[in-house]
Amino acid sequence: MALPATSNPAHSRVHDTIHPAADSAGGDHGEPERSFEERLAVAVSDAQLSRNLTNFQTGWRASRETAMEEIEFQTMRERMKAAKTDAIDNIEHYLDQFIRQMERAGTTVHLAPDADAACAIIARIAEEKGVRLVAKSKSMVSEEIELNHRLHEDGVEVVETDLGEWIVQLRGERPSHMVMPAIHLARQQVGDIFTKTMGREISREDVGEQVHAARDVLRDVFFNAGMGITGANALIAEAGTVMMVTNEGNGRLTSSLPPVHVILAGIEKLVPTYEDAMTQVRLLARSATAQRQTVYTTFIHGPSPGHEQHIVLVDNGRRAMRDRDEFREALHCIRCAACANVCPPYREVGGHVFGHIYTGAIGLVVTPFLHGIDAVAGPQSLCLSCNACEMVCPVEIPLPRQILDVRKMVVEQKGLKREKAVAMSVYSHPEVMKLLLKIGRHAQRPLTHGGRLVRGKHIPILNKQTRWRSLPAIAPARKRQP
Amino acid sequence: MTSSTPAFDASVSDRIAMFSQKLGSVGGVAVEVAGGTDALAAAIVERNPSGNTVVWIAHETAGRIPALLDALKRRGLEARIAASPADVRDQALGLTIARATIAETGSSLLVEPTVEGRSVSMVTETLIVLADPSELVPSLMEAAPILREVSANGASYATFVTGPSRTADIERTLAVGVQRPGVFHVLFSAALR
Amino acid sequence: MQTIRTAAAAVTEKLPSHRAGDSPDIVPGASQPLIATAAAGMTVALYPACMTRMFYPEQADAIVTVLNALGVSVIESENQHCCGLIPHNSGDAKHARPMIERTIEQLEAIPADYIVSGSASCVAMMAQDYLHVLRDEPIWRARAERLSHRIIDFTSFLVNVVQLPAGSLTPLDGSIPVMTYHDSCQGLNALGLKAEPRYLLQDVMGYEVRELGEVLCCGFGGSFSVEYPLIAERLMDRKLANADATGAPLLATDNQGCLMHLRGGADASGRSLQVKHIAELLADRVRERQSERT
Repeated sequence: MALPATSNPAHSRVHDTIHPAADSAGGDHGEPERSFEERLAVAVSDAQLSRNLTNFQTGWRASRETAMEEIEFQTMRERMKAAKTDAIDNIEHYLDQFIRQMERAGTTVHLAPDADAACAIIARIAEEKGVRLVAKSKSMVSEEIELNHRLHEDGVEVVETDLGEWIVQLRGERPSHMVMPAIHLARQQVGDIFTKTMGREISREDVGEQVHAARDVLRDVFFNAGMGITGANALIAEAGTVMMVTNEGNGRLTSSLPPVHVILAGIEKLVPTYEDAMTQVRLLARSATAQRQTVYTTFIHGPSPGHEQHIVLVDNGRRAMRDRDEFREALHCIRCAACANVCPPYREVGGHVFGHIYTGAIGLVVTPFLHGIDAVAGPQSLCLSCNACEMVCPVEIPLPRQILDVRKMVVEQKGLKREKAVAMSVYSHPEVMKLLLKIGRHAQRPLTHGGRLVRGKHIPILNKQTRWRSLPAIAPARKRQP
Repeated sequence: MTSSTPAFDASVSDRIAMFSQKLGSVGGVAVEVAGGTDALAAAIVERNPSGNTVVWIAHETAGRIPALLDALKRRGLEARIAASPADVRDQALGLTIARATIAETGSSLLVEPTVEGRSVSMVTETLIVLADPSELVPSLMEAAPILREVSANGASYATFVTGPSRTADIERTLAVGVQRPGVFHVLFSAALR
Repeated sequence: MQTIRTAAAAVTEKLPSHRAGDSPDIVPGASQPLIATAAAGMTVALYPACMTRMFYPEQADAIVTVLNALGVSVIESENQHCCGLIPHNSGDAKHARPMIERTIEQLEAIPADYIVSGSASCVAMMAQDYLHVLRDEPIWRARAERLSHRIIDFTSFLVNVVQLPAGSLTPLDGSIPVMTYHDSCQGLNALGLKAEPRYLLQDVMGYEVRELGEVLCCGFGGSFSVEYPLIAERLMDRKLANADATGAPLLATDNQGCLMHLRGGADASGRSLQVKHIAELLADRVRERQSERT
């Protein structure tokens, strides 16, 4: 694989040292994906992860409440839901309108039915333009289609310019959160990977120093890249305008400096009007990071003079989701990750376990359509139906119900685990249950000593279940009296 | 809409006060500069990083504020037009004019069709945005028709900018100026009308 | 399985208890209610959750005690099994469906204006999830919809239907006992209960309710706590630590799953924290006033 031609030493360092880390969570660098069980075991044994995420969640909840006080959340979310319902219900109409407007502005529009097609389109553009280095700003779709891996195979180097995305890229990991990709990492880990990458000591403690060092490396990437790839937060149909938000400004640099600009977006990102986009702006930052507004909210309509612009609009299972009534609303998602930020199991295991590329509650719903049933079978079992996600979703997606519908799909296609299947079967026979309870009332006596609790700390078989909480004894048969 | 969004007929200075408060909370600074062109030039020079003698502007900016640029020159700050992004890279000071400003969020709408013009607000260390107070709208909703107008005639590139570049990607610790600019000022002046 | 089932049926046939579902018991309400409310003379059906019947029948009794004392008669149909939540939450539609149908049939047949349950999760299942499961079947869906209008959780019934007056069940000794309250996920998020339990606890019963420091699931999640004990334990520990931080000796909730989980956790960790169902607290006060009357 040829090294990109460059005289910039910092750039060479970045290239040389991007390699998957040993404990990679897999993904876009071609590393084999570790199984759900393996990822779960690693996460559960990492007490620091749970502490980090718990602090994040509790801080976020408090900040979000303050941020939402300024807008009428319920009114806003109903409005957003109405806009997205219109957009998705009438997707072909709005897609058509959007494409015509974009083409009129001078953008080349490509439609990609699936991940492979999308990768092939972008790879071809890169080849035609002799691109050796790509600057990338945040795009969940690029993760979804594993674009970086494909371009890497073609000898094109891709550098993530969103700081959090770049950090996980250097570590050979997937992002663990749709908005805060490096939320699972401590500053020491960031200092470690920067030291390795840049070939000089970078502070393990001083975040300011770490950020400054990153800026120096990434600045060269913006100026040297032959292609910039950006994502989209919304596709405004009435005007053929792409809305993109960042805090760092890397989206603007990525979409402006390289001569070729490629926008990558799922077709579900459509909204009908600028007003709808403003409602989304009101909700997005508040829901994602509890900010009033991201620093940069950009509206791109066509290429800049002297530059070339392409947009790749991706289906990859979205129309299939739209065809299922019970799942259609998942296409309303504005990718704020609020659902991950309130999720109790997410706080304990993190995004590398609670999802597959797309993480959090929405990840559990879209994954079977975008990545197949096997990718979601393990993660979906972690949802305990607490409904917290639904309470904060800015588009009122009925996530808990949809996750149970996914679970139903998983059971239909892969069956229940054997022990569970037996338990359900037994449980569904009331006469058998009555008998078992009757027997149980007697059999439990050595454990309950006539009391109302089963304490089994010292009994190996029960210990896994009873060490940490005593189980209730089966109660005496009820005699109904006032 | 809500108590935080000023009514359309709220006084300009009320709207400026709200704008300043919102922008202030994210690390930017906004003030209203009383007086005319000269006072505005003085305010810009005040914010010029010490030792710096060049202020970079977009080509489209030059034609709109010739008197101001003269006033700056007299004060030792020479305006240069960015012909390419490389010109402006890591330069100390950029100056631009907002198409509109939004009180609800403390945002400035920058319309920057060319890459070299856009560089002025993307890669300079300190950015000063000049704003006409009569273009200060109450909320995002009033900005929507402006955006529509901006994209109505061929290709366009517009951005709401709300403060200096920032990130909290490392342990949620805030770091300002992760890209550029690290310092962000908005100056409201009737001299821009 | 078939042999066991036949044997079970044969055994239960011979037991001197009630037979398959046709003759529900009615426990009449007091002719002179302890507290005068609009509910006197009403008849409601009780729907105790399967877990209540298996492990905490006294919580069902507590509901009956309270309702009777208010002059409300309570019908209970025998042979209620499961509302279907357990297989439904496991994605097991095959086993959930017969339970759903049977529950609808049984409850439809009860001539009461309300079906009251002390289980927030059963109420959410019956009043909301049934409609989704049956969405493509107009007749079943209509039956589920009719039923959904009658199903109500015990807390809402006392606050919105009975309208228990403030101060009507305060401690007779004038004390202000301290407690904390765990909003079950189904109660808080699915049923929207927040003010109602606090009204009962603070205004009606005179407790000082100290709020837990954060809104968080207790970690029970049904089979989740059996499948992922480590994660369930961590969430439970967090919840109990939050309870410790309030200094309250008593924690109440409105869902028997949460109760089972937290009571078990308090016990295994050697805590003296009492974990009770809100119905139990109400019944205690009712009994206190009833003995004071006599």
